[in-house]
Amino acid sequence: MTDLDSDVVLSLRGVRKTFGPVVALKHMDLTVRRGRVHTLLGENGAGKSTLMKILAGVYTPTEGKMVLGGAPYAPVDPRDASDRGLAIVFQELSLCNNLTVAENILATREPSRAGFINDRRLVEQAEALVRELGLPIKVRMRVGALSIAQRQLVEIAKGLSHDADIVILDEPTSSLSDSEAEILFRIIERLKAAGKAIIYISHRMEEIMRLSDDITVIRDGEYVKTLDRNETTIEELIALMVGRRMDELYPARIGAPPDPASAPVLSVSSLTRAGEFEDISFDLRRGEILGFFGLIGSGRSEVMNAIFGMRRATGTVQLDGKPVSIRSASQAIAHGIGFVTENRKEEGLVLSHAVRPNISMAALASVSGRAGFLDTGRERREAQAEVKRLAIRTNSIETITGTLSGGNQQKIVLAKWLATKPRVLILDEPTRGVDVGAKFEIYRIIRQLAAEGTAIIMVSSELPEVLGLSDRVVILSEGRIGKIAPRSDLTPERVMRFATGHF
Amino acid sequence: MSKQSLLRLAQADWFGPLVVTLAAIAIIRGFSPDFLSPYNIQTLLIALAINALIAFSQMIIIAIGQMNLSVGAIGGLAAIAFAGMMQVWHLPVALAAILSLLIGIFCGALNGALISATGISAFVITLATLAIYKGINLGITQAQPFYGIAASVKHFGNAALFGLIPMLAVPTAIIAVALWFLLTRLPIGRFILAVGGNEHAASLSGISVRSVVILAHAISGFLAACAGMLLVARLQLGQPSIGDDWLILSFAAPVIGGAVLSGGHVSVVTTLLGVAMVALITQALVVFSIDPFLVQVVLGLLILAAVGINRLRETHLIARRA
Repeated sequence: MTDLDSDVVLSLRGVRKTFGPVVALKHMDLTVRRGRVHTLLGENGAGKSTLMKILAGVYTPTEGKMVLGGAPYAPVDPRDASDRGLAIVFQELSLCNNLTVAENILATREPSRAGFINDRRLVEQAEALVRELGLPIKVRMRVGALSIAQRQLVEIAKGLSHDADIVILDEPTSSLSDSEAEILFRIIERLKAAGKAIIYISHRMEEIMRLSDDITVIRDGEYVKTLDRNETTIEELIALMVGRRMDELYPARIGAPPDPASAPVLSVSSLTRAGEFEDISFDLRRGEILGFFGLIGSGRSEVMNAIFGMRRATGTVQLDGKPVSIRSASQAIAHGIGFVTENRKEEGLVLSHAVRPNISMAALASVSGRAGFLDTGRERREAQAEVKRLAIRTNSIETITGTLSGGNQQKIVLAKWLATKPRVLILDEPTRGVDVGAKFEIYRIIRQLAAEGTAIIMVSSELPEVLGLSDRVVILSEGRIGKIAPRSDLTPERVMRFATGHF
Repeated sequence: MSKQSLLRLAQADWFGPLVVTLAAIAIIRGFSPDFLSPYNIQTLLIALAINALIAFSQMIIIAIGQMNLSVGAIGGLAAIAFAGMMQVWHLPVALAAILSLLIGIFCGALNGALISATGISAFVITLATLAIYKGINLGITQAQPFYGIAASVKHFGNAALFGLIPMLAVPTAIIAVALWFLLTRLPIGRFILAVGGNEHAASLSGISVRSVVILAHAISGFLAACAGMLLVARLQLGQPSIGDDWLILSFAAPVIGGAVLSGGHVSVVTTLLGVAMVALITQALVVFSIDPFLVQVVLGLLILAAVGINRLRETHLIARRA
């Protein structure tokens, strides 16, 4: 590798970070070269975020050496890091919703004259950048009016708005649709060609295999191995990352699939909400996993919100053959419907509360009608049982939810709904932002629930996941049903054709 | 006691405030042996009894992540209503008390209803109702006190159990236990904390955010009215200015006790300790013959210190999370 050494832009040796007695990063080595995409791979809690923050100048390492462009690197704050040529696109959105895209992109660097912001030049500069990156965004729009995916693209533009040698992307595709992700991949190719080094963090194996040149695996805060993309396989990476072999990602169905002739538990017909979705009809049977696939904007989440009573819609919803009118979440819960929402931080959990009250939150609502007091002993026992059943890794049920990893948080949202003993469970993107190990466990839980008779709707934008688990798949395209078909009749290509409306 | 349970004790949210409170008592007692005389304890308990209700009235709103600027105005209105009904209408004490409490509950519920119906911030709504409730108070009283307080109320304001514990502390003690029970043992308490912690998640979990908000404000109004009526018994008159100086204290005690202003985290016990700390500091200034006007300054500094400590704890939590 000596011939490449002049290409090294950033190197870390033995970097360690502790917070009091807590070791966040045990030992990290990293060598980043110009013109290459270097992926950091590790489960949530493996130490990737800590490493990011050290590079960004948010944290100072406790031990270790960092060299950037041949000189020692010890950023005192994010501004310093950016002056040294690092651009960082964080996973969490850091945009001001009340400002325009242009103002956000050029925040802190607004072109100004005598202290006054030059609005015309601001818009010009932002427009030039957006055009260069090929983003489909109007810079005069308020960020608050954009979709989450569009905001993510703005975040990326913001990160790239100043000239950087090293670009760090932390899970940039987590809320992008495939077509938007393509835009990002093109940007990455362009940056690579321009000789920049890219540090890329993602959970999506397909994406990693496609983009990366080098892949460094981290486990439990420790450097494991750096591999060349061309000399490794997904299986090897997963094994290194979780520290154990994983024979297959999608567990097999337990027992026979439900009889298509049996009576449906949930039956939706002609569900319509103007501007969002139209004429949605489908049946769901006991023990069935019904996949819901569609591109971003296809109306998947909106349909689920309507079934759960959070959105008004016309059409009929039947449970066990009887028409029901569900106008609020509490009515939906009373009818035995559970809804694991897409965004666990904003819609699923009270992050500042402990595990126990989060698990019991939705089940309390069903007993609130009675004047009864809380049976705290029973609450504790049930929370403990769910923690054990779902293998939630937490010190105790009194641990604050926000301190747990994404995978464990997602399992707590699942536990919350399982505590309501639902007959119909809607899962909206159940594995978003969750590492591979936790993903596999969540898949197993979904399989187990179906085997116990729960009727499951699984909304997902990850095609392999939909095809890996579903018995049947509903494909949405621009708010309408493109196709409902048994899994066995579908291939990834067919699904994409129906989802895009080109068949 | 094992080392582990000691450690757990030290991590409990009420441990820090309790240590500070006990230390303050010990220090003041060291300088002034009279400090723990029966008379002083009584004075301290009376201040505690009334201030605790004022603090709870704000605490329940902090729990849902809002604020109630009108606690003082509601307390004042209920106080003059209580005194006025006795003096002008000659109503029996019990009836006057119940009607005044209903006024407090209504004023609070109206705050909650306006906030959840309009979506306008609690700050703005309660700022407006503060002016309205205070205006009604002044319109009724013409800024003159009601003196016609029933003898039983006057007696209640002066009596003490076993010559030590003022009667005024009894309703507060009952209410404190009831509130603790509500927040920790009743579903509605959980709903209040869940709405404060994450309104969206609470609503998707089947909790009616609107009713929780209205109920929390109704409880706040009830507590403010209780505080106002206890003050009538204490002062032996229906003073229109009752409630005017409650606002800072109402926030100070919960915040000193570690309540998170964004909601979801309050504690009856630490709020009580917060009230105790404020009362002790007020006493200390008297003991050390420091200008009583400095109380406000000290209170302000105490709030800043408490918020600073809370912030440190939060950043520590976030650092450990990463």
